[in-house]
Amino acid sequence: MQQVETEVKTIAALGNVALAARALHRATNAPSHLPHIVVFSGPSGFGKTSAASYLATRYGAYYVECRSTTTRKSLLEMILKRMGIPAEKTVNAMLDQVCDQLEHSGRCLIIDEMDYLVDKSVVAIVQDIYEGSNGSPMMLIGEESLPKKLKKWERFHGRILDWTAAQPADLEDVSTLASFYCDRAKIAPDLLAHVHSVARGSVRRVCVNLDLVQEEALTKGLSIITLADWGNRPLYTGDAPARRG
Amino acid sequence: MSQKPIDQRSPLASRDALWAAIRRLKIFRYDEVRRETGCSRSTTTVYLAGLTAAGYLQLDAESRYVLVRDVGVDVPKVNRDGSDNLQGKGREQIWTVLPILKEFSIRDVALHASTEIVPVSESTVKEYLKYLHKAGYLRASRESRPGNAGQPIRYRFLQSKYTGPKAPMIQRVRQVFDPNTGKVMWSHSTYRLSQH
Repeated sequence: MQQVETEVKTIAALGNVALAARALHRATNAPSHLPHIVVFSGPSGFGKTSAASYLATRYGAYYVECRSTTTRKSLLEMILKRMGIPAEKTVNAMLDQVCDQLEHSGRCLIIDEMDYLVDKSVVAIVQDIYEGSNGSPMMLIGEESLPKKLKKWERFHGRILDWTAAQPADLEDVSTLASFYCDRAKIAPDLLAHVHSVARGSVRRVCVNLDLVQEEALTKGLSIITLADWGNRPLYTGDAPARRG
Repeated sequence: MSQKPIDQRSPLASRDALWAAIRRLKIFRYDEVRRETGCSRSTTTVYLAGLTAAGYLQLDAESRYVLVRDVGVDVPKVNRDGSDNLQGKGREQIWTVLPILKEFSIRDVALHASTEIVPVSESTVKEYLKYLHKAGYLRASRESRPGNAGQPIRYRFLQSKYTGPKAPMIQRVRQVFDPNTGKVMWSHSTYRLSQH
């Protein structure tokens, strides 16, 4: 995609950001007789969290990320911290605080790494938040197995309005990322296609490789680098490093 | 008109206090909310006018204000004419994405914090992160140094230092003030003193 000079450079130009934004809109604008929870799932490195950060800035969504140690209480505390509300002492009172703020503000709650909650059966608290806030919009984000894991919770499963799968980065995403990150050397279309093919959909891998390629161009003093210049040098193809907690 | 630096202002006599009082009272008179908060006439008048024009408040037949749109704890940022006040919005957007991204370059932050409505430039990010780093919210995970020229600095956000949703402010006196806690986190003057 050609970036026009005057256009604001933002990750909103990426495919998965647009998908996530559409899902959020659906959750927010669904008629009241329909559920308001959406699920956004996909492999690590596809840019789900990155998309969530855009939803947080653009639409004021509250973002929290679960960990293996997340409990009902710590989840509520985390949400209240993001809201800027001093937490009450009991789980019950905190739940009321969270629900009250969600209902009044109309802001969406994004829970990332939801897999941990599913595994730990803390999922009931999410349901409590949803019901206590009168069906405030929510987005649950997790790995590709999240939909299957949620099936275990039938009452919950029925409350999902929309299941969105994060898509692998396409060639257009790769060119967009190149226009963002490679401002010191131009990368020829054939090399961009190569970067795209080895990334297997991961935005993270695309970024690492664009960086490598640009460095190589600078080292060689090239203003534009092609597949032939790059040759058989390896690109980063390995699985993404372990997620930071 | 000069205003005191924010760390020397009374935390009670502010828009935050007005909004909190409005939510508590729900229906009130002008004098009532002033008495509750100790806000000045000008602060109160301008803010109530803005909230009314923006549709948060309505005046009833007995010229009392009625809260008709309660959006929760977030203090509505409106100008006197009811339009959105976008001042400080860019920094707010930066502060929002940092704990989500966790580890980032200046460019990463600019791309994630920018929206079509409020773009954030890399130079804005660079300047802001510099101060957040001094104030201890961030760790620089790769310093730029000779031989490493052109390699961008990467920062890591220290989750334990997240104090709340309000963006820390850089004051003109070269001080970092955290409005979530009301504390000065870094000051040019104390920094210089501690160096000697």
